[in-house]
Amino acid sequence: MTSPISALGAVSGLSGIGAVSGVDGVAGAGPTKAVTGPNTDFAGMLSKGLESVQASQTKASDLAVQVANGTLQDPAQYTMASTEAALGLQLTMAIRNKAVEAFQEIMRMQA
Amino acid sequence: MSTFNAIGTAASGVTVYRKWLDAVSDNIANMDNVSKTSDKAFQARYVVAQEAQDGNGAQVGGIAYGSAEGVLAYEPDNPMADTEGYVRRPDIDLGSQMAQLMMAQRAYQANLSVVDRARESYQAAIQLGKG
Repeated sequence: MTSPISALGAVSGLSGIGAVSGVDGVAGAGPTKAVTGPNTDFAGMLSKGLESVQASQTKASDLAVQVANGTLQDPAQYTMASTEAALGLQLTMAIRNKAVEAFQEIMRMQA
Repeated sequence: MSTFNAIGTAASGVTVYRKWLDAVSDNIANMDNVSKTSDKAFQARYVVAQEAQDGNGAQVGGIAYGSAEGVLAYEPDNPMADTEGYVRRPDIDLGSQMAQLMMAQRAYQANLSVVDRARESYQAAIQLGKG
């Protein structure tokens, strides 16, 4: 049921947005690595997030198979897993739209 | 599971109460079992709920069993009766089981409504990001 959504994995191509960090060089403002913290790498964060979305999609589709098999013990397990997967997907889409918007904003600066 | 933590935590509660419902239905199903006085009576099942190992939610730590003695009932007509006319019945009180059934059902529903509220909240947060 949810399997077509796994095509979303293709979105991981989005990590190419990390290339935007090349803007640092344009600014010539020197290394901005002064920003310290565990999650300074946006592309890394994004791909980690996508991995967890992918994991919840896989869990939901495994449970959907169990529904079809008749081996599912509790229907709530499936509905909760699919809720979580759907939320993850919505969050991914919101972030992707924001990222694309930001990218286009930067591209417009050249005109 | 860290992004939508409340859902995972409530899901663990749902699982615990589902197991309680299973235990109660097992007890009610076997309530009228009769055994010979030389055998054990059906032992009622009790779910042992505890905090989850990882600190997120609850889990079932194990199953505790009720008395194997049961109660002796005088039923001389019963084919299972011993020479003195006694049989062994499980020590299960239907009233107590029905009360447990109600508690388990309401708590199961409460955990599911936590999932629903959490979903609404997370969706509101995501909606904020869409604007």
